[in-house]
Order: sequence, then C-alpha cells, then structure tokens
Amino acid sequence: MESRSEYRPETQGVPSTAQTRAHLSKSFYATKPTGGTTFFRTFLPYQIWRFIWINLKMIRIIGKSHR
Amino acid sequence: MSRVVVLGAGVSGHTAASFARKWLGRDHEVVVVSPKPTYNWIPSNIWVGVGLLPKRKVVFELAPTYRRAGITFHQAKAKTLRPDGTNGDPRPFVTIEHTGGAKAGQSEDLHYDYLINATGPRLNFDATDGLGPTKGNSLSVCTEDHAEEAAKHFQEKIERMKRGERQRFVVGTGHGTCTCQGAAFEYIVNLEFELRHHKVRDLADIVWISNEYELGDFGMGGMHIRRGGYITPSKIFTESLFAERGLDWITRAHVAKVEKGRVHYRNLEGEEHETPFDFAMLLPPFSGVGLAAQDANGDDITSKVFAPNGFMKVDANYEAKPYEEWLAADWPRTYQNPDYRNLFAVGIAFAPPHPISRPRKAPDGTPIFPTPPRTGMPSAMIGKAVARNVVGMIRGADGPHHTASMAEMGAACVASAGANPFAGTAASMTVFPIVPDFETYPEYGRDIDNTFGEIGLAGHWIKILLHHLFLYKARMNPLWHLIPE
Ligand SMILES: Cc1cc2nc3c(=O)[nH]c(=O)nc-3n(C[C@H](O)[C@H](O)[C@H](O)COP(=O)(O)OP(=O)(O)OC[C@H]3O[C@@H](n4cnc5c(N)ncnc54)[C@H](O)[C@@H]3O)c2cc1C
Repeated sequence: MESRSEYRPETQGVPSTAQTRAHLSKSFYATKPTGGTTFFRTFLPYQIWRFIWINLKMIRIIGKSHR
Repeated sequence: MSRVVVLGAGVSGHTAASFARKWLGRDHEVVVVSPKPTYNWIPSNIWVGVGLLPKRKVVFELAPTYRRAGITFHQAKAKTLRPDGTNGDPRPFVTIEHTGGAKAGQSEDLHYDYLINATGPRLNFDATDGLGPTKGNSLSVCTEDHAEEAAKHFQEKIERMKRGERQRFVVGTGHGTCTCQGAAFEYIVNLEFELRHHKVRDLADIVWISNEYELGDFGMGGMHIRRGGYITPSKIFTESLFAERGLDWITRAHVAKVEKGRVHYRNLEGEEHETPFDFAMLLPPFSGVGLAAQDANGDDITSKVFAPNGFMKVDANYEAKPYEEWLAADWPRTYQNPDYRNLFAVGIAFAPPHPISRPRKAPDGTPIFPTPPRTGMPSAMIGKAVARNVVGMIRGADGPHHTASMAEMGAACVASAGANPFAGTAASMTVFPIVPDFETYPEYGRDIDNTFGEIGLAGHWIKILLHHLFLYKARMNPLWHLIPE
C-alpha cells in the first residue's frame, strides 16, 4: 500500500474538492507561520540582533555546562 | 612517563587527545589510533550531501596536525583490549591493526597507562535488508564519502526534474532503533531548499520517515519551548516547518526492507506498509565498533567491558528498569569503566544506561523508538572532562573528579534549514539539561529558561561560523583551546 492512502482511509468514496483535500492533509492541522513571521526570519536588522542574542544565550549554556 | 592512548579521532577523541597533549608535559606521551588518515567535521556533511560543499572542505589530514602538536598518530584500527595485560606482563595494552602507510595490514600491541575509547559508532546498515549505499538501495550522509555519493544522485534527480520528470524523495531513519534524527532533519530541509533554488520544487514529493513517536522527538523525548505566550512542544514547531515546506511525514515507523525504489516499513500498530522513492537517504542504526576484550589468559571478557550493543560500560546505572523509574542520576558522570580505573569511553562510544525517548514496541515486539543521541557538543565536553581527569590522575589524583553528565549539562545545536547568506535559515536550539531531569524540573524535565529554539537567518550565520571555528580548532591552529566545545 502507498503511504499517502494509508493514513487517509477516509478518502474512500469522498469526492475530491479543495475542501476535502485540505482537511485530509496532515499539514492542514499543523501550525503555520504568518507572513510577518517568515519575513522576520530573513529581515537583516532583526537577524543581526538575533545573531547577538542567540550567541549570548549559547555562551550561557556552555558556561553552565562546564564543570 | 605515562602513555595516554586515544582510540578514535572524531569529535570526542580528537578533543580528548588535544587537551591531554596541551595539559601534559612532554615527558608524557599522547597517542591517537584511528583507521582513517583524515578528520571529518561531520555536521557539514549535510552540505556535501546536497552538493553545496566539496568533500575536501569538511576533512583534513590528521598526521601533520598531530606532528605539529606532538601527538603520536597511528593510522590503525583498534581490535582487542587487554586491560590486564598477559600472564607474563601485566601492563595493559590494545592490539591494533594498521590501515595505512608502510605497516598496513600489520598488527601491533600498544601498551598504555590510560586508554580513552572514542571509537564512535559502527554504521550498522546490515540491520535492515537493502539499507545503505554500499550493499543496499539507499543513500547516507554519515561519512564524507557517503555524502559525496548522495550529492551525485541528488544532482542526477535535479537534472531529471529539469527535464520535467516528477521525483519522490524519502528521507529519515532506516531502522526502528535509529538515533541522529537531527541529521536526517537537516538533510530533508536542505534538500527541499536546494530544490527550490534549482526551481524544480513543484516536481518533487518529499517524505520524512522516522521511528519517532512524534515529529520533533530527535531522540531526546522532544523539548518544550516558551514562545508566543505558550510553552509549546517541539512537535508543533517541527510539524509547522514541514507543513510550511510542503513535506509529508510518516512517523512511528521501523524500516524493515529497502528494495530498489521502495521502502517497506512496519508501524507501531503492527501494520506493514510500503512507500516508493526515486531517491532515499536513510540513516542506519548505530552500534559499537566491535572491539573485543580479553583477560590476562587471553579468555574473552568482552561482555564484562562492553554492553551487548558494543558500546563500552562506564559509570552509569545499567540496572534494567521501566521508563517510569529512569533517573537523571542513571547517566554517567566520569565515563570511567567500573572494572578498570584507567579505561574511559567518550562520545558515542560509551554505553548509555537507557534511551531518553520513551521506548515503544509494535505488537510483534519490534522496537520502534529513537535511541539516545550524543551530539557534537556533549561528545566534545565529555572528551575534555575525561582528558582533564586522566591528566589529574597522572599527576597523582586518586580518581576522576571532573564530571560531564548529560543529565547535568546543556547543549547548543544549530540545525541548518537551507544554506544561503541572505535567504538561508537554521533552527538554533539550546536544551538544559540534555537528558530530562524530572526530579529537578518536574513539569517538562528541563529548565524552560535555558531551553529555547528559533528559526532564522541568524542561525545560518552561526552554523557557518561554527563550521569555520570548529575546523580551525580541530586543526589546532593558534589559540585553538579558547574556542568553546
Ligand atoms: C550527518 C550528521 C550530521 C550531524 N550533525 C550534527 C550537528 O549539526 N551538530 C551536532 O552537535 N552533532 C551532529 N552530528 C553528531 C556528531 O557528528 C556526533 O555527535 C559526533 O561525531 C560524535 O563524536 P564521536 O567522537 O563519539 O564519534 P565520531 O565523530 O564518529 O568519531 C569516531 C572516530 O573513531 C574512529 N574509529 C572507528 N573505529 C575505530 C577503531 N576500531 N579503532 C580506532 N578508531 C576507530 C573513527 O574513524 C572516527 O575517527 C551529526 C552526525 C551526522 C552523522
């Protein structure tokens, strides 16, 4: 059996419309980022700030882990 | 004079040998035994595997580095430990078999005062019928050569797609007991990113298959992050990224067989399924490299020194007990073998007391759950702590006093999600501690203030920085020891 049909047994006999296709996809039930979220992921000024912040956070973890 | 022998020149062994050399006076000898002539910065194999980096950018020759540092290097494979020596000579030794140079094929007995086993994993492709690039039908990125081969196949698929052919990519774990899901995760998202870059994404079906109970488990039982006003499990973030990138996923799967173009798998419900592919990158399960041990008479004591999975026993609590009774305190702290005080195991080579993720079985008893990962940062930190202890003991300490328990240390990890200086992203994560400690942190097993994750371009810059910094450090260039693990 092919994987796609195996976790969507409810497709049997259901007419394929945009609505049924959406609801039968696993990704329909996943949280998705908004345009703003994806924009900030590559927005340079914000990412420069995150670069500094993440480095500081990681250094803290490294410091906490050394005995 | 003391001799410290380190078996393996990967992340943990190379770190242990470098620090032992730095801290010990020249009247002591540090010896490294490793079958390959090169060091491989394994995390960057992901970029080799999608054709972004040539192999030569992730490896370098060990011999010149060791010569400069004053470390003796044998390109050889360790075969048998003799921790009691022989009846005639009680000095412990390890039998090695040379794999390069003039002595290739010859065996040698190497005496030691202290031995650090850092031999990493055996890539156990044989566990699944048809798995792996050598004898099987799937690809891997575990070594630089595997990654180079994967890149060639990937390029060929891109060419086909450019000619209008639809292609199906399956990426994940090739057995119910695999670990290292993080590496497969990086590979699938980089592959998707590259397909977009080549403008053929619309012709690709990309499927994740893994032994995780939920996406985002990564062999660490998942993690919880404070974000957007909620404490959210990693499952939500991973599903979100997969949904955003249009990746399909199959979890709770034990890959039982890989035929040409078809993966057969069993799930936790006991159902048998199969899924087709044009390109499959499936990681193998790991086991110990198969070292043996003998006593002074030459009688086999392998099961005394090593766990059944081939990893070396250290100061962990190996008592078999149910998941509900697992404790952070079960995890080793000094990595000293309980029977031999001069024997240590670091990185992937030590036997964990139990998994981190909850163990689960299919109705027929097939185990389907991730085994515990030992990523780069803990592997290096353990290697450094053990080197410190060995140096201390050589100088007269009564035992190992420096600890590096995975249940007491955190880890920082950056998982690449697409490599480009302006459009790339990576998931930056920290967890504290690596092994959940539900006694100290009853709700999530971890300190939520020190466990975080976010995806963005900054993570990609950090990943690039780490690639260069860690290769610089591994080459033991000036001030290498100031770069943290
Ligand atoms: C594709 C991939 C990507 C990864 N990405 C990341 C990442 O982004 N971040 C991260 O933290 N971790 C990552 N990891 C995990 C990381 O690579 C491991 O944690 C790390 O390599 C473990 O170090 P080690 O020294 O225990 O083993 P290894 O690095 O595997 O080293 C083992 C060494 O032992 C040698 N050896 C083998 N057999 C013998 C023998 N018989 N005698 C002597 N020597 C022997 C080997 O040749 C090797 O030199 C990744 C792993 C993979 C496979």
